[in-house]
Amino acid sequence: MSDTLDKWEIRIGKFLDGELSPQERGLLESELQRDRHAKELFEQMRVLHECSCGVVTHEVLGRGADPADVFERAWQQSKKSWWRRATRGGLAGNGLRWGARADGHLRFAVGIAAGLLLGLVFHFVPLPHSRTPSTLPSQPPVAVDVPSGRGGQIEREPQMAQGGLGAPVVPVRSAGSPRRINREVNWYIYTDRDGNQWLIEGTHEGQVKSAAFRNGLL
Amino acid sequence: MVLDKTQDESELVVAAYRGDKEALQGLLKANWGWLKGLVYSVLGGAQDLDDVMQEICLRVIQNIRTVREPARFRGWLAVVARREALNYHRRRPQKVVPFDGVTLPDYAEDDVDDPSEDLEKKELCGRVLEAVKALPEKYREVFILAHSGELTYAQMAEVLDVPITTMQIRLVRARQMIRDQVAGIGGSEVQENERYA
Repeated sequence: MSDTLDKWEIRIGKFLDGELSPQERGLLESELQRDRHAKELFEQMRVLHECSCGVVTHEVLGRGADPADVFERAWQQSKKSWWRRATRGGLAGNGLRWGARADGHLRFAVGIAAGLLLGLVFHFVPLPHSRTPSTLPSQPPVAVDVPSGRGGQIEREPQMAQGGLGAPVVPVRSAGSPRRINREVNWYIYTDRDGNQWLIEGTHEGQVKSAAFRNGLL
Repeated sequence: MVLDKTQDESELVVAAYRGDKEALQGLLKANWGWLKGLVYSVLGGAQDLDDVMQEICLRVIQNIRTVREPARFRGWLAVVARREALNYHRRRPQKVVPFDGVTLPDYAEDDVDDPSEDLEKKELCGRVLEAVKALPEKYREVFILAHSGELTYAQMAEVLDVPITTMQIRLVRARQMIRDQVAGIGGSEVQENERYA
C-alpha cells in the first residue's frame, strides 16, 4: 500500500469519525475533487463505515438488558454480599458449616480474635509450677565471709545467711585474702626448678591464673 | 451522552464516593455503550454480556472509593471492565459459534427503498460482522469503540491506555483488515496478524 493511499485512508477515516480539523477537511475535499482513486476509496470506506456502525449498534449496543435493571441487580447484590459471604450456606441452613464456608477475610478476622483471646488468657491465668515475679526474693543475693583453708576447695553450694531474709548467699574468702567474691575455685601448688612454690587457681570455666607467690607473699 | 464533560463526571465520582446511588448509576449509564463494546471485544461475542456487565457494576459499587483521581474515572473503569471480562472469559467453557448461523439484521431497512440494494447491504453487513469477529482482539476493541460513536479519539486512547497515535494506527489497520476481508482478499486471522504486524 502506497504512502498516498495510507494518507488518504487516515484522512478519510478521521473524517468519518468526526475527528478531522477544518484544515484537513479542506485538503481532503481538494484531493477528492482532483483524484478519482481517492474518491473511489472514500466511497468504499463510507459504505463500510455505515455498515460497521450498523453492525456495532445492532450486535453490541442493541443487545442485553436495560442498564438501569442491570445496575439495580448489582446494587441489591452488593447490599447482600457482605452478609451472604459471611453466612454463605451457613447460619441459615447449617450452623456447623459456618466456619468451613466463611470466606478468607472472615477466617482471618476470626483467627486474629482467637489469638488475642488466648493471649489474654495466658497473661492473666498463671500456669502451675511457674514462677511469677511475686514469688521471687525481694532482695538481691548478699555476699558473706566464710572460713578459708578448707582443703583447697570452697563449698560449692551457697549458704543461707543467718537472720537473713532468705536470699541466697555466695561464699567468699575470709579476712586476710583479698575481699573478692570467687565462685567454685579449684587450686593447687606448683614448684618450679628454683624451688619456688606457686599457688595456681583454676576457675570452673577452665581459666587458669596465678594467685599468689608462696615464699614471698604468704 | 455527556462524556466530554469531565467535570460533571468528576462531580459524580465524588458524589459516588459518599455512597450516592444515583451518582453511581449516572456514571455507569453515561459509559454504558463503550463499556459494552469493550466487554464484547474481550469476550469475542455477545454471549454472557449481561452477566459480565452486572459483575462490572458490582465491582464499581464496591470499589468506587479506590478511584484516586476522579478526572481519570474512565480509565479506571476500563481497567475494571477488562479485568472482569477476562476473568469471565477464562472461567467460562469455550464455545464455538459458527458464523453461518448468524442472522443478518435489518441494518439498512429505513434508508434503502430498493429491495435488491437492501439485500446487498444486508449481505455486506453480514460479511463485516464476520470480519469484525475474526479480528485480533486489540484491533477488534478499537474498531468497536470507534464505531460505537460515543468516544473521541483521545477518550479511546484513555480507555485503551495507549498513546493516541497508537490508537489511530490500530484503527486504520483494523479498517484495512475489514476491507480486505470483505473484499475477499484477507485470509485467516494468523495471516492477517503477520500482514499487519
